[in-house]
Amino acid sequence: MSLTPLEVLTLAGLSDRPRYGYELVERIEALSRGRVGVRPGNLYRVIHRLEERELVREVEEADGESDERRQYFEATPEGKRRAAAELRMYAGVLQTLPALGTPGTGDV
Amino acid sequence: MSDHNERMRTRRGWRLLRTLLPAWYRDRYGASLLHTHLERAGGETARTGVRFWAYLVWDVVLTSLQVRWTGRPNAGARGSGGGDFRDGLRVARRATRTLLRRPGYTATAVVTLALGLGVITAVATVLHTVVLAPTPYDDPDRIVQIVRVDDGRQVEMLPPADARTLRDATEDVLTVGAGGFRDVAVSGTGPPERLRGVVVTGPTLRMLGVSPVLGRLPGESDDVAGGPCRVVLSHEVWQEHYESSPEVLERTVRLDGEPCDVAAVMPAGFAFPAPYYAPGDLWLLAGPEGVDWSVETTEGGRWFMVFGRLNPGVDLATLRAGLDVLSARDGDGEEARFAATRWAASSRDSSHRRLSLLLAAAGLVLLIAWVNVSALQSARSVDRREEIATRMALGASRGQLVRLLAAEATVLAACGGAAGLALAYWGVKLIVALRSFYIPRMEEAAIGPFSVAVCFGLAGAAALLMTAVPALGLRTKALSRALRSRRGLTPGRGGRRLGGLVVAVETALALVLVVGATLLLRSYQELTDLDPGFDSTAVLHARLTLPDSRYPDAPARLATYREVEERIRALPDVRDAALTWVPPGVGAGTDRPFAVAGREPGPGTWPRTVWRPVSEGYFRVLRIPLVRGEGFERHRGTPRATIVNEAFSRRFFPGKEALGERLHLVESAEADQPEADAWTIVGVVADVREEYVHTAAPPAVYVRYEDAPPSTMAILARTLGDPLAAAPAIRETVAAVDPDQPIYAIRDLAFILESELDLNRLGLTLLAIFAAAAVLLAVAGIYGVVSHAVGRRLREMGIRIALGAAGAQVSWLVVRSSGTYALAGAVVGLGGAIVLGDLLRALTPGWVGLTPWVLASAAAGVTAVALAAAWVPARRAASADPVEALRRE
Repeated sequence: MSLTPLEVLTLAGLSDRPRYGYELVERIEALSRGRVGVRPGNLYRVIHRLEERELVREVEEADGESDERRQYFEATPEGKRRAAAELRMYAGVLQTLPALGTPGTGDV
Repeated sequence: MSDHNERMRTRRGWRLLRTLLPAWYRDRYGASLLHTHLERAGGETARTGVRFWAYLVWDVVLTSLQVRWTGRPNAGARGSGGGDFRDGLRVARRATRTLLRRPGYTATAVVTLALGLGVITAVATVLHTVVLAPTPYDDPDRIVQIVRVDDGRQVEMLPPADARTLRDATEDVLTVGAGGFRDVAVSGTGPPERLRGVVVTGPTLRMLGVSPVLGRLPGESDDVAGGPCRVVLSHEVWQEHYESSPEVLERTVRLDGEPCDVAAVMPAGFAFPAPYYAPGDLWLLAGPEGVDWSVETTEGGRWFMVFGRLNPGVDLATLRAGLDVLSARDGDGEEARFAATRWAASSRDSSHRRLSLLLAAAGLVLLIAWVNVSALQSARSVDRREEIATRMALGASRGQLVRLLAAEATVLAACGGAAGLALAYWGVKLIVALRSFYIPRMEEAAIGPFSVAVCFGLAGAAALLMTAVPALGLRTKALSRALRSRRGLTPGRGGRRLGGLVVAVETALALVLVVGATLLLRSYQELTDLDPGFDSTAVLHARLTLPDSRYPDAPARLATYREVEERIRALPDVRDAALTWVPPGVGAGTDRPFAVAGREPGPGTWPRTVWRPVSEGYFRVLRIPLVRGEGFERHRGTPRATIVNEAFSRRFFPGKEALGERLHLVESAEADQPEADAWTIVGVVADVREEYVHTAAPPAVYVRYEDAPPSTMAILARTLGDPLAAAPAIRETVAAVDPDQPIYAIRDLAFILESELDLNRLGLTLLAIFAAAAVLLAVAGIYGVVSHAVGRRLREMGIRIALGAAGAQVSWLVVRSSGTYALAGAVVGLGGAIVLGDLLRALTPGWVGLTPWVLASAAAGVTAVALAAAWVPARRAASADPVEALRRE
């Protein structure tokens, strides 16, 4: 089953380290250079879908400044693999575009 | 401190908001979702302002829709399968099964809802058609009518001089069109037929902004002196007489025997000037504009209604200012002045007010229905308290129970709504059948998407009420008490108060409607009972017009009228016959300015009087007694003999003898001078309500029509039997005299007068139906509530009887408590009735007024009915079996 762009971004945001909700919202914004703003409600819906497919799991974060009201999530190894694969695919498409004569759209 | 409060507020708001989310999502991510929002807004300590809440609500609403739409992934594995919709269906099926097990209860609730919803949907549908349906005219708010104000009275029909003055003086402000009425005989194939015609100037129809379906509307350039006769046909005439053939434009039709070109055909349903004329007319071009505007109209003489369209950039205030200047310039201090009204708006207003009032009345019926079904559901949930408490103990959440209630309520409301819609279908037909022609466009009313929306919208509100009211009773504490003690079956004070409230509210609402209906009924009776001053029973009315083209001079007309009158009088079924210009009491405004000889007040201040050319037999046929002087029979040789009525004598010759006095007509508005020839008063007759049956008799002058025979007269024939049965013989008689001039407007005079009163029959009938429905529903509701309460208290009653109370005492206990609430309701209802009476007064001719007698008897009646409804179940309380009660204890 293929992933939607938002799912890819979410997986990417959870690939380097576990993150909690607000952190993830900001990370997704940063990854998309401010082009994707995600509604928190929708973010949890996406997380739920990824959890069901075992691409994301909830983790206990033993961080010092941890807040018990924060729910941390991270990408499973399979999730990381899928995210990397999807990103490579996007990069490939972007490289091909100029060759196809399409005006360059810059990076996404 | 304030931080703490802030946090508490946030928590409370959140608890409410999160219920929108599906349970699984709420449990899994709810807390984190809120936390994310808080952090986004700057952390826990941040002020949660409007922007925070707006975004949170937006997010939750969208998310809940998204989540529900896509369903819960993999949910099938957990066995709940197929999303919320199928879930809802399952709950509805279960609710339906539960309801079907109680057919009596279900039927009562559905019928109650259907009545309430049907009544309001029917009225709302009609109101919607009449009010909101687009008017046939383009930009109707810019169409104005100009009337003359004489002594504070608005005169719509203006003499040609006024019409011309207005057209010339206001040329740069508006386009003036003018219309008068004229009935014409249309002959083509078959016998000639009379059609209602409206005489218009060239630009009039264009001004309305309606395009013809065929041909070209005449314009200003067609108002040529001595131009050819041109006529515009209504769609209905075109269909009926010319088979919808487009070739009609090339044909010449004959109107009153004169050849006339068909200029155009209007679209179906076009009526002008509504509300006087319904579709089915034709419009005659006045033609010789600027020459004389002198086309003779049916009402006799040359009278016009003046309409105009405001030019772009001109508003009503500018026009009014212009008219004021005009009045001042022309009037020389004269009282009369011109006034402009938004025509489309003013013709709409009164019918809208009537219908809105009916809508409010229907709203009261609906309110009773709502109260009834809420009380029913509430009572039922009390009965099921044990079942509900058990369910809760087994882990059902309050939400689930509310959902169960909601499902039942929705099923009931849906059935009630469907039945109500069916009822509304008949209701609309009934209202349309009862209509008077004063409400334009009403015949188009039909059940449509709007009706469906209203009906089911209000049904939805009923479902909410039916859920919310019993849900309030689902407080956990009360329930657990019910479960703990099997005796928790006596209704608490709260339950009893609710029942009492139902009794009070229903009594109040029913009383308002009963008083309203009683007052309308009495006003109507008053009108039909009042003495118009003449006897209209067994009198046939028919109109005969002798067009100028065939009867160019007075002697020719006179001979024909005489012959017609004599031949009709000789018919075996006819007792007596007479001719009159216009029949009495039908609102024909035929005022004439005049002067009393010897006291001429000068130009512009002429008094006015009703002016009636009649034949000798007029007073005989209508049985109007001669009070003083002599009838026309004794003055056959005297030219210009007149008879006046007592009102005239009182007004113009107070304390003096009017006989022998002389009057001068001020016929020509241009000259503004009394005519030289005088009319001599030879007799005084009793007062007749010549103008309207429901307004006092105006001063009236009767003259012999022989002195100046009009081109149209009404035949009044007093018959031996049913007036309409004599119509064929009369028609043949007239045809024998002139086969080209058919009689028309053949009616029973009493019927015409009654239809004058018809204005009110719609309101009366509907309000009577509403009042009956309200009383019926109130009885059912009160009976239901009291019966339920008695059922709950049977054991208590049994114990009372066991302790020695007499049966009568026990019934009295029940009736007394209901009676107190009914009385309280009656007091409130009286207040409402007074308000309603005030609103009705303005809309009801012959209003009888709100007498204490009506109020008191209605209040007593409704309270008695309420008590009777309570008394039936109260008797059951009296028969409570003490042994049974104690055993159950």
